Amino acid sequence: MPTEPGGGRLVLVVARGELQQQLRDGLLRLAGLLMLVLLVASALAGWSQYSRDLVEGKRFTAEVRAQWLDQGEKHPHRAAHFGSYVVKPEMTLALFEPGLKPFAGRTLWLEAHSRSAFSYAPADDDVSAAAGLGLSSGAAMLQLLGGLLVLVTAALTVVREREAGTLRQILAQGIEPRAWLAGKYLGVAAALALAFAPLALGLTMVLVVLAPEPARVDVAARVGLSTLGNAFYFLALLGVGLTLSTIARSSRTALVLALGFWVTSGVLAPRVASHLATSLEPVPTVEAFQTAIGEDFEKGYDGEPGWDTRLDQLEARTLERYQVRGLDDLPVGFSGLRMRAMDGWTNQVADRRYAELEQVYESQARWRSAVAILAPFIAARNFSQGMAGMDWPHYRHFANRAELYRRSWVERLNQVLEQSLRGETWEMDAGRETWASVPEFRYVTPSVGWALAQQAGAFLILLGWAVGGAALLFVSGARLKP
Amino acid sequence: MSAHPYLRLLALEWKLFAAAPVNLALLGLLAMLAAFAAYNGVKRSEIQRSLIAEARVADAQAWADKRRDLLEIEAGRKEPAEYRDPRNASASVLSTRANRPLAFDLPPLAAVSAGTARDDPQILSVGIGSRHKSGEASLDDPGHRLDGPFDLAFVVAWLLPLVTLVLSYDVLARDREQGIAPLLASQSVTLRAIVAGRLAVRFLALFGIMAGVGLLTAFASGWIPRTGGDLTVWLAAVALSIGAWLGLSAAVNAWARSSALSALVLLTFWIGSALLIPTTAGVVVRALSPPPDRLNYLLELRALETDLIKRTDEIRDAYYAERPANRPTKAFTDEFTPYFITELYPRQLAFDRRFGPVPRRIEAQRVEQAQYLRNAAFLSPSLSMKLISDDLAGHAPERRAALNAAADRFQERWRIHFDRKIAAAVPLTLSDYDNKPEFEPIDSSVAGRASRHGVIFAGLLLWFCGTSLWAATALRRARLF
Repeated sequence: MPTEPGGGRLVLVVARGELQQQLRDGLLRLAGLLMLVLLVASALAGWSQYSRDLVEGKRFTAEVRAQWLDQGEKHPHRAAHFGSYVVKPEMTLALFEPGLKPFAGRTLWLEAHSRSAFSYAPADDDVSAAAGLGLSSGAAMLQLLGGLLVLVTAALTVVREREAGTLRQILAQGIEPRAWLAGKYLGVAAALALAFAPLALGLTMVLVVLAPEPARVDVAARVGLSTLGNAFYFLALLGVGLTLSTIARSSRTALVLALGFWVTSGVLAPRVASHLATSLEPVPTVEAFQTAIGEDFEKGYDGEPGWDTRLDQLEARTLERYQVRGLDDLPVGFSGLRMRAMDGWTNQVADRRYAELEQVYESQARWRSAVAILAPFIAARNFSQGMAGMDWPHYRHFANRAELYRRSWVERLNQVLEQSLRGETWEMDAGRETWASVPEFRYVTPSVGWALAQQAGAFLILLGWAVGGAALLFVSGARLKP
Repeated sequence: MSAHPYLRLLALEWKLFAAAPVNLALLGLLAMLAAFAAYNGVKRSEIQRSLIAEARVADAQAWADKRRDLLEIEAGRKEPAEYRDPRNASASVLSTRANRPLAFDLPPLAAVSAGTARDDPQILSVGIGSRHKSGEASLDDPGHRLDGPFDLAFVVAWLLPLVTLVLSYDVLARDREQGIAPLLASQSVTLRAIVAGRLAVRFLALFGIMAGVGLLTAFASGWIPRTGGDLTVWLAAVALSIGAWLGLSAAVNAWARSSALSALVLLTFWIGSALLIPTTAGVVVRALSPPPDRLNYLLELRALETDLIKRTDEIRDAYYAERPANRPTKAFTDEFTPYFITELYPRQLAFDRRFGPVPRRIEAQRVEQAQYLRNAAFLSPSLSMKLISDDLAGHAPERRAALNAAADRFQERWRIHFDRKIAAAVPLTLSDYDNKPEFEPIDSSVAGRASRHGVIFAGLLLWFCGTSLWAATALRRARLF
């Protein structure tokens, strides 16, 4: 009489059997194939969009610079108000994971006095952008539909054996339920890995090869981490799905439970999280924010004097420094000094308000993370967006660098006023030489380490869910009934 | 079959339906989610209404203050403040601080959908200067827009169909699994009547919840004459959508051998309707009617601005040649005023004359996209529900176009009213303040709305009739074991 395989060998035997069964399952094959077609189609559409955006972004940047240089002779301060635009560069990962791109503008307008916010979000102009449930990218499709495929496959795995009566036979043979479930877990995981691996490998190669030479290592690391994050997410769903399958008495119940989990985690939770975050920690409107900055500027804050007092102090200091009786006698352009002081004070006021705004963003992120603890889809999406460089921290990083550039650029133009004018005169014209003295904006996307630090919480949540899903299955295995 | 036994059948099916705690729990969950979405919507629209009202009050106050200052200065009781002299058109009207906030009132069912736009209401800031130079910026984390709002549009487009399917996926398949279907067929009532009774019970329960939530939302938002019509349209669409999903469920049940298979097939339909078709429709619509290229828009805008600045003298001369009476007669006492009056002002007018068609073209593109999307809604009840909810809540691109057109008309009158006073630096009088133009908020027409709703309704009706017919045919041929 043949002996029952025990321990690790049993796990492998069951895993192999499950893998073969899953691969023979017409439904899984069909669903897997459909997923693959959708993902490839989505990646191709993303590629086309990414290539177009890349070319347009470069052309736009070059033309904006040319327009800046060729703006003709005018007052430097009017040139500062004519302003300039900068475009957020994208890594190749954006073709599969565009993240916030449809809802955030690509461009920032830089002009005198004020820091600008993102505008011209593509979704504002594209009525069709929000037609579905946010399934507009390959990554979203993978996480939402791929997640459903994993859940449904796992949820039917044990319960089918129960309905067919084979579970009773297996348990009657004295097979350790947890080892049997571990085999099932590995078998389904292997089947799903086989379904997704070709796409993951192909996509990784494309993303790395398309990336410019200096960024390839960084891109490869980001793709690797993104794949790992998605793998944790799928393993979590696999654990949950199999656990539901061990509990449910019928396929019908298992399906309803799996569907319920998917809807709650993937469809409801993101909206609830977002609603909670914006209701509890609302971001001010642009108008309210600018009004607050304006009031701080005029009246001052925390003992800091407002602009009128500052201007009086500046006049007194300048007269004393140059030992002259009136502003008209100054050997330098007072309007340049005044503009520098005005921009310095504006920056100080704005920094304070933006620091408060950053606190709001952080609080909102904490609320969303709190919901993500219960709904792994949110964590998977945030992590994926972060690795692609298309999450809010990356956008803010870009905006902060653009702001530093704006300040240096405005400062340069104010220096021209100070050096070219005398006394309190205002009118003057500068030309191409002055415009060319303003350097071009150079932006380097932060490293993978920085990106990982921003999304460490999401990564830990995914890891926790992957481990927790397996642990849940382990616990439910002890109570497995035929 | 007479009405009486059918009512008895309905009562019996209701008892069976209500006896299952899962059904009641699901209905309770739907009611809770719909109520939560409605509450969010009412709160959001209240905030938007108050923001619009505050902007209007602040605007009225600012103009009343200027008028009062003018009277006091003319009576010699007050000295004019620097840069804030109400007699000086350049300071009082040309400055962006003098811009007027223009907005349509929110429609009665604004609470039903947050649309795809940001939470802020659309208030246009319109004055003498061009309003095409800056985009609608936002400080919001765009991730919230990606997540989407928790509104009634989301509930009726995506959750309601799911709940409908969960409540009906085994409406016949379960009897077949339990082996009691042949027994049902042997009764005096037909199988179709029994299934119709079961579906009717589910329809009444689901529609009852949505109608209740819809009515509460409408009352909480403040009932106005248009509310009744809009609410009827929305509830009729909801009814057709529930009916279509129930019909689909009955058709699938007629041939599915097990409730699990029925559930999988219906889930596939839902994924198709809620996720894949809207996404594919979006791709097709973008291909047929590409969204405007904002990068080119900005380049065009800046190129024109540069060109006009370079031709400042030419533009100023052309302006005064066209309006010789507007030529300033007095010398300016400072170096700033001539720039604003004789350079910036004519340039703004020239800018809008040449650039004006570009934003209008963008509006037209948005409208065209929306029309294509409405046609595509024939393929998906979810997309239909989303679009009709957005439309009734005031998010149709046609409405945005109507607001911009009304703003353009207002700006034209505003510029004509103050033109001479600005360009010739003639002091403003009380009459200029008292007779200043006011915004006429002419919303998109009833006929336009009806035509938009008609397209979506036709799609939903087609779905309802199609699935009902399919279900009736399939049930007649259904195998019962």
